Amino acid sequence: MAHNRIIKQTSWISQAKFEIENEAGFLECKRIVLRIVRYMKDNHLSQKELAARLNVTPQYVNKFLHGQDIDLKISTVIRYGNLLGIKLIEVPMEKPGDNNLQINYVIKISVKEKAIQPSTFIYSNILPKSTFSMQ
Amino acid sequence: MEYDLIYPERLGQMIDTPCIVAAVYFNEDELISLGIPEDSLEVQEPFWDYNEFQKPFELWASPKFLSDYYDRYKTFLQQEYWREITEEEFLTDVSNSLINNKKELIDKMESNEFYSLVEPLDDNEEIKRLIDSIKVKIKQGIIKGHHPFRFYAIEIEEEKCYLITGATIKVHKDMGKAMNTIIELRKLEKVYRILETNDVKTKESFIDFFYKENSKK
Repeated sequence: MAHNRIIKQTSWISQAKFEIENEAGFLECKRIVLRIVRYMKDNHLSQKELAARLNVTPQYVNKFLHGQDIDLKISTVIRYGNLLGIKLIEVPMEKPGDNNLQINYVIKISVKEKAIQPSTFIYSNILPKSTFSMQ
Repeated sequence: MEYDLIYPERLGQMIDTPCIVAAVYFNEDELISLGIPEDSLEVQEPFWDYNEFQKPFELWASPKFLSDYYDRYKTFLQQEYWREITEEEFLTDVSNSLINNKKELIDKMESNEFYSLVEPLDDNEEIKRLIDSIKVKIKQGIIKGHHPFRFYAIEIEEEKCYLITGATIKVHKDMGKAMNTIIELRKLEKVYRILETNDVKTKESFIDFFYKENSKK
């Protein structure tokens, strides 16, 4: 049986203009959510189970998976990845003013230990591609 | 079934606005009777409250919806026409298109040129256009170089009055070959019959019909 509709008071145009102005960065958040959706499907995880794993409410998970209110902090993404045992984010860093040297800081999530193991890999464009050093 | 005004933003402006745009609202029972699966997000909270113009934007912004959509139509999307698009590429192209779609629609509505986005659904509708309300489509957005976003509407009076019945991301060039476009055809037909039964053929008659139907809420 159909529910009683709650009529939206905000016009679509007003809402759309607001969203256009505030859309920057949300694509990256959506990509992260998509990885979690794929993880859920691959592991047959329900929304309720996901909420329990992330220590959040099922209502939040529902909004989260639909891309609503997803202005995610990096620390939150790292925490979710750690709790699920999957890589959700890479944060490349470039040394200012140096176009030949690229430093990638890769946050690796160990599936077995479920611990964050930060590693720093230095890639140099002047060296053969197979050469790198780890510090 | 209900009817929502999209443009102009206020009911009192309808008469003076050269080109008005409205949208149909179907409740869950109606959508299910049209063929939408009962477990589809379209008939669940929070999407069930949106009309057929707002709802696509909400659904297309949902990573979960896009993932389910990709899985459902994978056999179409992983063909050469779509250059074997991946799930993440699909989400990226849809998300990028949403902003541009909104900008274009707002721009055309506010300049009273919404009609310039509209095409007859097919050649049969083109022929009828001079004498009757017709079924139309609005093509938008870009995915892998194609323009697959489709809004569907009844052009009640050319250049003056449009009633949006639904929208989808078209995955196959033949509307009759994929379930999502088959459902859009059903929506179009259902709404067309209702307007025909109520003799709604002009902007003025639609405004009268709109007020009459909304007074029943």
